[in-house]
Amino acid sequence: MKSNDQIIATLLPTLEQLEPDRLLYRKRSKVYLAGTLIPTLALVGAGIVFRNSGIFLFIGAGVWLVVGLILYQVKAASIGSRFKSGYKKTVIPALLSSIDSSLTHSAERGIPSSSFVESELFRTRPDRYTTEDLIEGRYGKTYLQLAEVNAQQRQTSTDSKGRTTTRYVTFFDGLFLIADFHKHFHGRTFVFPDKAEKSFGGFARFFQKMGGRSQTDLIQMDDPEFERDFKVYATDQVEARYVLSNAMMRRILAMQKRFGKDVRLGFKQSSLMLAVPHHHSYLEPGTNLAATDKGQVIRMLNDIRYFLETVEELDLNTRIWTKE
Amino acid sequence: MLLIGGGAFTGLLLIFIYNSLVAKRNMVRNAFSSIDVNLKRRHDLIPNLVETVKGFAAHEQETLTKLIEARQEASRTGLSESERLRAEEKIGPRVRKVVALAESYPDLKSSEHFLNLQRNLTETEAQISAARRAYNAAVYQINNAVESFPSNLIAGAFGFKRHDFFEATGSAREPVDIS
Repeated sequence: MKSNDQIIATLLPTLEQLEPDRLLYRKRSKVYLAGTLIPTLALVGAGIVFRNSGIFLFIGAGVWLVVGLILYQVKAASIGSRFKSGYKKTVIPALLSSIDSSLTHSAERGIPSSSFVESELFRTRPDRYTTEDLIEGRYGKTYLQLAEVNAQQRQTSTDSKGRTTTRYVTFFDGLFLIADFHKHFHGRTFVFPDKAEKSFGGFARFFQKMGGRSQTDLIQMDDPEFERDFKVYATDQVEARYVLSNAMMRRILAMQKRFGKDVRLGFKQSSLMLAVPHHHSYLEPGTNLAATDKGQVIRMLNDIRYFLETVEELDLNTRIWTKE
Repeated sequence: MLLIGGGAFTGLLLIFIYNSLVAKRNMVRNAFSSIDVNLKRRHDLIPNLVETVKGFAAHEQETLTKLIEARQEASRTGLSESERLRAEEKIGPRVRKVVALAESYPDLKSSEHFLNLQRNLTETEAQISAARRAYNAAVYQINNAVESFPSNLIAGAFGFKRHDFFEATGSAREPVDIS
């Protein structure tokens, strides 16, 4: 495996070629944003002062703002997108090949919305769904797909005057992993964070029974710490315990300490599905830092490793059962 | 009126408790049948394992005989549920001991047939472990119901009994070196 310095040394010539784009983007951004916002504010100010011709000045401000933003989009933001896209296409494949040569990256692709819905990790069907930065391939012995996902639900409300307002509320924003599980199984098992049991103890179980997925039962696991932090629903009592062995429950608890309380896991069709809320930008290069900034490359590498470590953490590369 | 209401309530409560006990007993039976399926699978693999190991490690007759004896003991007809489970508890560690012989016999360790058997045994042990945990969870629930008031009254009247847990023996709890 290459060291971080070796990886950066290999990438530097390409990163140097990307730097002019970043500088051009920053320069044009300043020019076009200043050229748009300052006159717009001046026209609005003039509209307030000269009330007689105010309407024309306000219209002028609006037109200037729209034209300015279009020009910003065409002349500056497109350069920024080109820089980010070029950076990702250069850096991420190189970082992935330093981890495992079979891993590939596609900035435009992600986890299909059908897979997200079929995972059953969330009850809500997304009305708006975006996904990007798909990492796909075999990590050790485990085939996986990892991508960023943002899923939103449409909420419509009507006020007392009958006016309807529609807004989109994000119910999941983070990383979604689908990985080949190391054991064969036929049913469905789900592990969801359990907030009720922490607050209400055993009394909460009455309500938890209603929170499962179709044809699943609430399963009481034999690890008290796991049982306190998670609730498990499954179609088969025995299979749930086959999938969630004592060792696997400890591993999930360890993973939860790394990723936070809201991790959700699903075991279905011999695959593991994992949803990790993650509100920071992931695999996105900043335009404030030089393209050749070593810290940024290492941060991305650490981000990728951080999520791929899940495979090792859950011991998915151990293939001692009948599944190869 | 109050008397009729009280009688109806008591009747419904009795039905509810009785049905709940039946459901719990069925969970125990269901979990036991899962254990049973996997124990039988292990029984089927043992002769194959013994024959394979014998081919490479003929000097280990005593270890192999102990495993065969344990299997025969658990296969005896007329054993009660708990006697059967106690007999089965002895098999797991003996299987592990036989599998561990591969460490001393490199030819055995690299045999394709042995490796395949080892995978199947590991799988079966994992399935038994899962079924045992499901069984114990079901036993825990029915034992609680049989001992708690007022369900203990219904349980006593209709012959619902406590069940024994299927404990993993000390050596069975140890991790198996299967690599």
